[in-house]
Amino acid sequence: MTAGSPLSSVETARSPSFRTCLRIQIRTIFALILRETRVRYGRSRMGYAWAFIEPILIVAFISLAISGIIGRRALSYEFGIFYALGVVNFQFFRHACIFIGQSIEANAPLFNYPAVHEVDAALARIILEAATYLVINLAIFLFIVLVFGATWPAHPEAMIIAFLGLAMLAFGVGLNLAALQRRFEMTLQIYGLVTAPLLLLSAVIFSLENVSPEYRAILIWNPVVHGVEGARMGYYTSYGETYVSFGYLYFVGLTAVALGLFQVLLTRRGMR
Amino acid sequence: MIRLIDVTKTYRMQGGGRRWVLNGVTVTLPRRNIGILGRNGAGKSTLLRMISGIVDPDRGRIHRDVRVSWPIGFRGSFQKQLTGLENVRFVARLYGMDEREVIRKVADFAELGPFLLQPVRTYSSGMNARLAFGLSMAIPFDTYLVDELMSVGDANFKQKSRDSFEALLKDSRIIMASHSMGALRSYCDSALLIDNGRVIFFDDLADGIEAYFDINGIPKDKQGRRHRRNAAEWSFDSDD
Repeated sequence: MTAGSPLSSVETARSPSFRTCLRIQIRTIFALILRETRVRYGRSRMGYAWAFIEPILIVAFISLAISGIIGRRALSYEFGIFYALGVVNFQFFRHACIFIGQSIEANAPLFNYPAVHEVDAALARIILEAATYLVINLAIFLFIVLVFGATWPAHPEAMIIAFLGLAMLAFGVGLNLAALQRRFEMTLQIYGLVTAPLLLLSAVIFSLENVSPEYRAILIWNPVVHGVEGARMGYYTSYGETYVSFGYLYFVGLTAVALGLFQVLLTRRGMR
Repeated sequence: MIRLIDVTKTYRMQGGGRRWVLNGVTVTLPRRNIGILGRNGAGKSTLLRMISGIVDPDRGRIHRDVRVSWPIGFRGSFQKQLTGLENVRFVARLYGMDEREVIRKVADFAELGPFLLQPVRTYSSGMNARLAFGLSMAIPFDTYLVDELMSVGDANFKQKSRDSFEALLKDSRIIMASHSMGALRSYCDSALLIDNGRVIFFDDLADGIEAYFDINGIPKDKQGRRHRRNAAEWSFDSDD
């Protein structure tokens, strides 16, 4: 603690100053992130490594399987890049939704501390999850570029915009799930069931470029498509410009976040 | 100063219906040691939770310009899979305290020995209480909110809590919910009685306790005193 009166140098539970509030919130989220890494990955040393190994294995498996189906054409890294772009971003979205959906339930004892708000617990989780997947993305691309000599992304900024859009969407969906989970214990099971076909509806293992216009017109209502195909748009020099809309992705994401915040505040008023 | 302004709080009962805790209450809590009195289910814990800020009222505002603790009690505020030490570290970070200093104080107070490095789920309720209490003593607050903590622990722990509380009360004050009149008499000098969605503040704790016995229907004897044995039974209030 700093010099001076011990009580005046520390903040009140609800401080009037915005900057103090912000500082407390950042401190809280930081403490929560450290705590999350301990609980989630701390059980075994392999735990955190698995977060990286899993998507890489999936990408490798899908590329192998598809190149086997398509024919004897040499297994090229081109497949790997295409599926990596789809699978990693999709996995991120899917994991993040559920991870945040569990954030309130999993942190229940910590809401006994006034500084810990339900939204902070969700924020800590999306920050941790996004950071993890950013590293995974980077590792995969460094690997493909350095080992196979693939080209560097054409528009890396578009890839980042797509990724952040998915992060916001996952945060919004996760907040809603977390609030609903407080009222209905079955929420996450039902969500898992309902969204099981999402992999096939999100252009993960195929390209919307190859989908006929009438089906494409349906699929583009799925906001996840714009994150997944948006990442590809960022990698290739010319891809998906005609149908990918970041505006739509961010609009749905923001709406979900607003609704989620509202729901979480509502459940806070009831004593769960 | 802590002020409740037109605060209303209800909570949903399982299977429908709502229970009133506070019904449009406006009250100012002076900077004193206050005992919160009320029957089981009257809302003592909910009031403490609202004062600390972990539960929002349905309507109205709660204004506090002092540093208020979380409600200190034996109910877990710990993450069960984490060790006691990791939990302590988390709270120290949360309040921006020097981690090592807090850990040293808690280890000193709680006397958990090697259990400090074990997951909290392996703790007995007494160990849990010792850790919770030690942790709250290690972080300075203007106002400590205490929820029925005094009634747990062995004689040694009770004595220790009493000593450290008395040391704290020089600079801080407490707001304490308890069914134990003895505990309230040792720490508090005024009272807040919750009954049926209303609160009454008593300048003198003794008046508050009288009113509390009245709403519990504990009779006076000829000298105008409550029957001691009877009062003790009622003070644990297991009627609902």
